[in-house]
Amino acid sequence: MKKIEAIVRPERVSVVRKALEEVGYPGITITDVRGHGAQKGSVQHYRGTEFVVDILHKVKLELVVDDSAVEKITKVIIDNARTGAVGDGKIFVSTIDEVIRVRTGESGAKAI
Amino acid sequence: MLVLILFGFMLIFMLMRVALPFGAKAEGKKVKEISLSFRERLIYHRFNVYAIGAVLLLTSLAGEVSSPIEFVVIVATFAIVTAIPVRYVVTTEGIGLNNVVFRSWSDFRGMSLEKRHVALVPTSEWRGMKLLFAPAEHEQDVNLLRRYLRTVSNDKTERKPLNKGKLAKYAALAIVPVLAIGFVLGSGAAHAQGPDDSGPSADRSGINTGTDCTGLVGIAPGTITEDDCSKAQTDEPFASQLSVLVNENRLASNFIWVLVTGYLVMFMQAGFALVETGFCRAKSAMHVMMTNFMIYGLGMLGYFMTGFALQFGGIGKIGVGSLGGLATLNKEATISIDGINWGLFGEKGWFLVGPGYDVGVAVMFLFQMVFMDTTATIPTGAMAERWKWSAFCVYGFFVGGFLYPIYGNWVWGGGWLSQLGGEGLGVGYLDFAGSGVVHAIGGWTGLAGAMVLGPRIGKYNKDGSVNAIPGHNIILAALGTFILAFGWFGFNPGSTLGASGNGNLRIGIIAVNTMLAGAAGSFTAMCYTWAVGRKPDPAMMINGLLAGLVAITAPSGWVSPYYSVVIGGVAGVLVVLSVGFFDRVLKVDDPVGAISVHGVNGMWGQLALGLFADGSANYGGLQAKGLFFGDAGQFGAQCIGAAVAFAWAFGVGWLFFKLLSVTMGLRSKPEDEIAGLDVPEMGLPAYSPDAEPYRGTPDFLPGQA
Repeated sequence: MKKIEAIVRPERVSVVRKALEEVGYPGITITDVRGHGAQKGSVQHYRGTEFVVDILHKVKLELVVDDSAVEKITKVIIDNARTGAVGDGKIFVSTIDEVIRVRTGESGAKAI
Repeated sequence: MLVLILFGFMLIFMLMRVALPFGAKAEGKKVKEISLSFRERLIYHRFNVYAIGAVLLLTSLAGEVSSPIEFVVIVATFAIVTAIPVRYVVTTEGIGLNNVVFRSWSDFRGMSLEKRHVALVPTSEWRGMKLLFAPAEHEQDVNLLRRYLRTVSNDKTERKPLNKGKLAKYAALAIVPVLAIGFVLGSGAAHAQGPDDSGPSADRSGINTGTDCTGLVGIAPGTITEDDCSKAQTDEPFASQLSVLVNENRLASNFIWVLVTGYLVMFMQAGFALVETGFCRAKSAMHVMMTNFMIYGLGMLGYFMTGFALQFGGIGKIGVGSLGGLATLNKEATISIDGINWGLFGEKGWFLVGPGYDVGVAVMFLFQMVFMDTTATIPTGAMAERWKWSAFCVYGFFVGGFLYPIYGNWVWGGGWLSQLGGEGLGVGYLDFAGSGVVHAIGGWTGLAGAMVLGPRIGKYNKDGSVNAIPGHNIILAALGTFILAFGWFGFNPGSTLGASGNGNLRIGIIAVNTMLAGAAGSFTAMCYTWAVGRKPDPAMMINGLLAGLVAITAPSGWVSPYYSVVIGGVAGVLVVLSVGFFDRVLKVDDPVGAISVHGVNGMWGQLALGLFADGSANYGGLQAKGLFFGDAGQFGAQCIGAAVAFAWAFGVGWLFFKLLSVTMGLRSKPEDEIAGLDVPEMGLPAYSPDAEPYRGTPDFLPGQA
């Protein structure tokens, strides 16, 4: 079992989700997040003074999936979240030790 | 004088683009200076030159400036272009222009060679720099720049053909000769006549208005003639003087009424701004709010320059008795067909100089200006979230200076639609407070704009199905609607243009009609959406109230309270059906429902007057009956007026927006639209939490070591 954490642009979320629905996925958690990567911030203007906003608004998608689905899901996210400009986000994949379904107490792959 | 100041500012601004008193200093060691040739300097100053030419043309049409001043302005413009060198200073640290600007090399990540300029590409997507010389003619300089810039992106010598077509090229080429010919003809004609002060003299002090016999006539129709008045002045001097005092008080009450209701209408701008912003998404909220904010000033200046004169330059021939006659505005361009001189547009009152500088005219200007601004702010809603700011600015002047006033003249300025009574169509086309003149014109212009722009990205799927894009703050929209409903108590009752005489005491009935129709509109919209969609739809109840108000605007002065409820009730259902029709059938994306509220229900209001006018109103002898009260001719006039409103606003609006879209571009960039227009176009988001850390926050706080 793997956890896929994808940080994407807020305006791409609907497109990514629609594409994910087409390939199928067990479930998703979506969080509003703030942060920055290598490219820092956007320049804004207030009453003639420029300032740089460091911490940008992004959205984090979290999916826990079977090992075999990781490649497929990450590809869908990359294809749909990419604009080609700086600030498209990142995907982190990590291993999950255990998954338990609260309702039935099932664990492991069945509980995903 | 104002024009002199304006020219002064323009010339100073032009000068400031090449020299500043305390300008930027070039850092680092100077490597080279790149001087621009005369032709390149002309390109550098092109927008200033265009602007000065346009103002020269307009002011000479108004007859405001004399030839020597124009000569001086032209010479000064030419002198700035020829005498002051434009040098790009290249140093080891960066690049600057004269002493106006200096930017460090680290601000740029490359350059793009275009046909006529070199564009330095900025590191942060904010602001590049354009070097206005053709790379082909400055090969050495370009190589020098290349050494200092880290990379060279898009190294192209041929400019990519932009998707603009031949029309744009011809339009751009045509502008210069058209401006030149217009300038020569316009200034020649204006100077041959001198400033247009012919006709009655304007009252600038306010001590003459309402004191002569013409001002007394019309207090009650048919009771006092000018002969009676002149005779009384010699026969009964005391009574005559008393009547003058009475008359002045009457005028004062009218002035106060019209001004105060005008202030109320001005406040409707706030209502429109809140409604439109609330119905749009948060990511473009600043952009939508600022279009509503700036249209107030842009439209007003357009109306001040040409709009008011075009609309009301001939109103004095009919006379506005309740404001002292406005006799100075007495020139209307007409065309004679069938023995009647049909009015086309007014010709006096440009820039409010000469005949426009008058106490009564000023009251009229204020009241009519805020009406124009109502029209102007309607398309900002229909075109919201995808409209490029620069194109919006051009639109602001166009709608205030031309599009609105021409139709306004045909209805309210003594133009041909109001003269249809001579052809047996009732008493001619009537529009009490502007369902047609204000709302239908705004709505149909918005329809044209929304069609030329196309829908927002994401509104329609590939298969044509529709996505709902919910507004981000319906609370704001509801608050704005209440402000609008409040302002409408100025809009409709104020359109009597007076409180006393001429049957104007009907103002109470007009106010009641207004509130009833709005209430009925929101009620039927609630019932309809509740019955059909199972829930009373908040956004539709808001639109329903506005639709009722729009629909009652034209009939408010002519119908009874009972039929106001009918008119408003129909409007409430009509707006719900119409929103669906434009959304799903015509596939026109109208984020706030402006086309349905103002266009469709404006048209309904125009027609409703011709159906329900009951003949009891009597404004200085003017009485009208609708179809249901025995006069089919009046309904015919209303149909013609409604059709003409659609043809004019949609037709001219569509041409104008199409021209903008092929020349300067009407729509913002798709990536900006997706990210929200706030930061790319305005530089500032509408909602940004204070706590968000950003560079530029203080690097220490009190109490820190």
